[in-house]
Amino acid sequence: MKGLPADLKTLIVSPQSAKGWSAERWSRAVYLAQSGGVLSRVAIDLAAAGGRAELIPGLEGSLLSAERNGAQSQVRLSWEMDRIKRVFWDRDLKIVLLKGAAYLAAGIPCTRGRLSSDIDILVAKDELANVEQALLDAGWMSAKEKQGEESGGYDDEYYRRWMHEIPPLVNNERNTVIDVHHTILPPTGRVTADAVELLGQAVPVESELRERQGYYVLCDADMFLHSVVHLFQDGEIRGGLRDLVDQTEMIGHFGERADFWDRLIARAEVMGLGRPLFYSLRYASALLDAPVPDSALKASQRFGPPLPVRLLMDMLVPRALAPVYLFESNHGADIAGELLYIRSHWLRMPPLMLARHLAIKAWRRIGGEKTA
Amino acid sequence: MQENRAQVTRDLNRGKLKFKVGPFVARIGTSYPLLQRDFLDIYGGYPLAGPDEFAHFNLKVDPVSLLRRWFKPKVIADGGFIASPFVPLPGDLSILALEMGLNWQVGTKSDQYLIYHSGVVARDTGPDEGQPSRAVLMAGESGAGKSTLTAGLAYSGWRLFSDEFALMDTDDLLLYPYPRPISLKNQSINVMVERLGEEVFSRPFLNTIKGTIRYLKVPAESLRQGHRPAQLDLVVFPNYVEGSPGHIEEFVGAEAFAMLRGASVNSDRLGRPAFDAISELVGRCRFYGLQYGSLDMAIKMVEDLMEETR
Repeated sequence: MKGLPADLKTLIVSPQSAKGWSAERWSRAVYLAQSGGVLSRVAIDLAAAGGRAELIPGLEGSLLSAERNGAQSQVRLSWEMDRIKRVFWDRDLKIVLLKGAAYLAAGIPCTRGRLSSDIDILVAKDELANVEQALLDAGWMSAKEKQGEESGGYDDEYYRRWMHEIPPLVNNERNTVIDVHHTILPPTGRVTADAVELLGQAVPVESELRERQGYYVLCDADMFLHSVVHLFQDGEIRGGLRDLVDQTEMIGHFGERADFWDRLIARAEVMGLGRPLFYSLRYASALLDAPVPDSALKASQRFGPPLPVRLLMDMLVPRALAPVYLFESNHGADIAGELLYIRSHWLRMPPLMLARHLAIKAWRRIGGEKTA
Repeated sequence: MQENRAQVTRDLNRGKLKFKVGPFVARIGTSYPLLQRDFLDIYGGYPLAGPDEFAHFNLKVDPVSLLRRWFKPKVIADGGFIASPFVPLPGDLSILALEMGLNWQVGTKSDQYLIYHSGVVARDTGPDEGQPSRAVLMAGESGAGKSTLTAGLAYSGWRLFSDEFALMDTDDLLLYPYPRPISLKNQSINVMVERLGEEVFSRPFLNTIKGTIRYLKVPAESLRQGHRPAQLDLVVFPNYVEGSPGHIEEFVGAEAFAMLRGASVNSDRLGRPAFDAISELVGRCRFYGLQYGSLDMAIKMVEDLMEETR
């Protein structure tokens, strides 16, 4: 299996050994880290390793910039959590934080330097309309309307009918986006998740910080599976290096807990998420040296695809995940990205629906409309 | 890079051209001959960066497809970012794609500096590097005459720091030069060509979204001193009003804070360091609104105010 570019892997996995590199080498490695969405984290890790400012002239500025971005992203997320809490202060409502907000609230190590543009929450499906209305009343509006387009129409209807979240809302003052989910996978896909189970197993956030109190996060196995699903089931893999880094961190963090691996495997089995879990453990350990115990790797084998598919994925996934330097040719990555993009749609909806969806998108593109 | 045009063109073709803009090194590639010519014309006086210098920014500008290289040419900038706002431009305007591409990267990926969307010029108090230079920052809405005033000062004995982004170190609050060609639009082109002559201008670029643009090249001395920072002493908000006899209004305290904060492009992203920096500047610098009726009047106002602030 092709690995990540060696210097990028070094920056992510063992930044303390990035010493004595030439300016040329740093320029390329920093570009790759930026493009892979992990530069803020790398900057923080290089500082922790010591002597960051002395590496080579000119580098420190770019690293400081990236570090500040990461810090600010967390301030923004915290403030958003505070504001959203305020909307629902008088309601008995279970709000589960997802993705970046959850990593921050639960103190998962991958939160350092992690850039989040949106905040994601999960609520029970029968609360969805109330939650949406409460946010609209409190200063959020449809993201489409905010951009001066009319809300509603095909995209809006598509979201409400077929997606696991409502169309994104944006705060009028702060321009921050919130995605309200009622489950973690589109109900149309080959695999769906049991939302009642997810909510039932969610755990309260334990924190001294007021803005985090009262929220819930998914239990460890579900939190991990959600990231996995996002990358290998629902997403298009291309550009998803940051997600695999998240998973690698969670493997290290949760992996210490007693019977985490047994629970994870069992949970994936029950929820039908064995296949994406197989991919995650396979590629996180192969590309980023994630500390997956052999027993877990072995146990996940039975979720694996038939051999030809596995060989194909082994060829495509590393190519689609690895950023390519602007001045180097990237045909392999382009083709891998395209194929995996098609795969992501194939998994998301039944064939007839996919055909209809792509036809509508194509028709609108011909008509010169911008499509999502 | 002027001395070695053939080598620069080869490096552009191979995406290996590295040049210095103030504290930054940019690596550029383009295979589009017209852009190579415009680039050499406008950036010919810039210092090249050696192989042992870190590249802060990377940018490619190329035709969107093979077809569009020859037939109704369209080019697009690519900095390798997923969320970049670059749009294809007609081949004739390819230098705009490069300018916008670089500016966008500097404006969004340089949070080691507190950045203001403003013009800056500075005057050296002596030839010695140890003596600090004194800077004036010109902020305000686009169309208010910022660029024209910056250009006027840059060619009347001041050192050009920026026409687009003022870069401030948040520790020592010094401004760093970011000398880029000044893009002049429509009527202001004629005013400045009459004043400075044809040879310091690029060819005209017609039918851009802002009308006609000509780039005013950076004075050689400003490029030579491109590494030398300056201390900010004066902040002005110029406003051209036809026939105005001239009017100066001073701003202090919270009002000055709000105006300078409004001129910053990344104070939200910086948070605390930006707040502290602007607070300190409000206590240390003078802030004026300038209403002026001619460029010479505005230049005199700035020079007099700078004299008073000493």
